[in-house]
Amino acid sequence: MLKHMGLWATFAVGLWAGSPIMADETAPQLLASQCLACHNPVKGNAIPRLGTDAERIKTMLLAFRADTMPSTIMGKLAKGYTDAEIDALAAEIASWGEGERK
Amino acid sequence: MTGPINRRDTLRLAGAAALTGLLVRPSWAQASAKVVVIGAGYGGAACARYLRRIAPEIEVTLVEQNSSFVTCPFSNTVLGGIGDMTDITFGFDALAADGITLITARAEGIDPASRTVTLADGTTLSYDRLVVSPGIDIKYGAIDGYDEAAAEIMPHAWKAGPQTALLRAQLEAMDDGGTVIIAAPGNPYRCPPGPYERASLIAGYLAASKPKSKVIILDAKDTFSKQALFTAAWEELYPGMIEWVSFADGGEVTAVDPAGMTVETLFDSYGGDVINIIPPQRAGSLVIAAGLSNGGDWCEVDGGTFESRVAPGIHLLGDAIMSGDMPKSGFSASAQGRVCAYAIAALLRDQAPPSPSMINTCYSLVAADYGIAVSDVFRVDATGAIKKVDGAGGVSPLAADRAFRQDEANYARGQYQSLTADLFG
Ligand SMILES: Cc1cc2nc3c(=O)[nH]c(=O)nc-3n(C[C@H](O)[C@H](O)[C@H](O)COP(=O)(O)OP(=O)(O)OC[C@H]3O[C@@H](n4cnc5c(N)ncnc54)[C@H](O)[C@@H]3O)c2cc1C
Repeated sequence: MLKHMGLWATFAVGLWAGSPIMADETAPQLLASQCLACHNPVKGNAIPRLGTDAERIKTMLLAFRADTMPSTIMGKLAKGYTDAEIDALAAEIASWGEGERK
Repeated sequence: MTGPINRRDTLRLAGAAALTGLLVRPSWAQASAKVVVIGAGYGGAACARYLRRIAPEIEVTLVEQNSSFVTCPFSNTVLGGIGDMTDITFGFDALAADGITLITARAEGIDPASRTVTLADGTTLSYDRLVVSPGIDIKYGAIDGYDEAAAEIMPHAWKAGPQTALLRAQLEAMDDGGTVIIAAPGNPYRCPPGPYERASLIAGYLAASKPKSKVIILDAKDTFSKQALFTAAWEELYPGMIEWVSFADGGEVTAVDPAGMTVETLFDSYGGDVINIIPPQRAGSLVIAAGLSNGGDWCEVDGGTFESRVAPGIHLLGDAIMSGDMPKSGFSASAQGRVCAYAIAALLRDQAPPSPSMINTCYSLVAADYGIAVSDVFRVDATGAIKKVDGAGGVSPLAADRAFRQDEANYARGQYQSLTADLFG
């Protein structure tokens, strides 16, 4: 079975080499995975916890992006995302259970 | 947290497979796909843990030469006497608890053709996909006279651990009125703002304990990361204490004499009481020896999947790669590790890897209560190159009050706690 797998893997690689066929949109899970580097709610973390309400997360990200809500770095980061991505991020983060928030 | 690929992409992929005359791998074969990850640092630990979370059907084996990991991030606080070695040392128990198989051994060789890794004791591991995040190795010999023996007298402390403790001990032993020399390398190198954060925190220690001392930075560059912010903060916090000699002014260190405690630059010779040489670097020796850098110092990858441009099936992360606009930071390495985990999960499920988006934020402490930051958002273009998103990102404002600097110092600590918990907690 291992041998077969190796063979299949070789074919799969042949297919990807050079120009991987990427999905058009960034998956919400992948987008949100980038937030956890800072917003991991460990004890005593000065960085605020991520919210649990999609509307509120979206409103905040849009306000950071528009510079109507003051921030140190969130304004700079929010400017890197489209409206659709902000919607997707907010929905994804709000969907996490307490366990996934760690 | 599965299912990032929509149906349209799956169909498109199936179409591509049909065109090239390939069959899609049968689903039974996916049950025990094997991924080997080498290096349990910022890139490797992130990738291994996220792979377990995203794709529990994949067996993940993590090979790390050391039994614990000492972070370079915050190692400058140890040098400045505001942090301790124990604060920056982490074990791997949480990774084992995730179901990752941990092997404490040095990987000695990679054979892309047979898809195997050889360990120091001769054991071989086979993989369907390999992830290597080996960090840097020092390019000994690039500075005349700077070899491993010289590093015991003039530490680099650019890999955290005994070298950090050695440099701290030298600073503690130095008399008031002494001179600390920091030699900073040319680009690219691990942690672009690192040498300047180091100069700041050492100056902070000296200002409090040995105020007649000074720090000289001998630089192989004419500009550096967050330069305006660092320079302004030095004038405010440590006036007259830090001298920076640019490349144009002859700052590049070309030779060292450990016995005489002197360094040579293009135009001059400098004597120091403590000398920290941050030498030129290259990707970890394992990937260089395996030919993954194509004879160069760094490895080329596709920024969407982090798959090697020379060896299919091998993914490379972190400091070891040419990462386009992304700096060589722990934050970047972990961001890449997460993206790579999503890509590998998709590839092993015969799905299209999701289109990546990444963040990097590098905080530097100029003092315990004074932080500055640079942050950016990154995407990958059609050629697989990692590009900054225009209009986003940037550095801390030059005009800001001390409350703002205090906030960013708090966030620097918060980010350190958060990321190390994500990797090791
Ligand atoms: C002074 C200093 C301060 C820094 N501050 C920051 C900061 O504040 N924020 C930030 O984001 N970044 C910072 N960095 C940069 C950061 O340390 C690196 O960018 C990051 O560690 C890169 O991650 P990596 O996975 O590529 O390598 P590493 O984190 O170095 O991990 C590599 C791992 O691979 C293992 N390994 C290597 N070869 C083998 C082998 N053959 N077999 C088995 N195991 C092997 C090593 O033992 C190591 O554990 C700093 C760096 C320095 C020097």
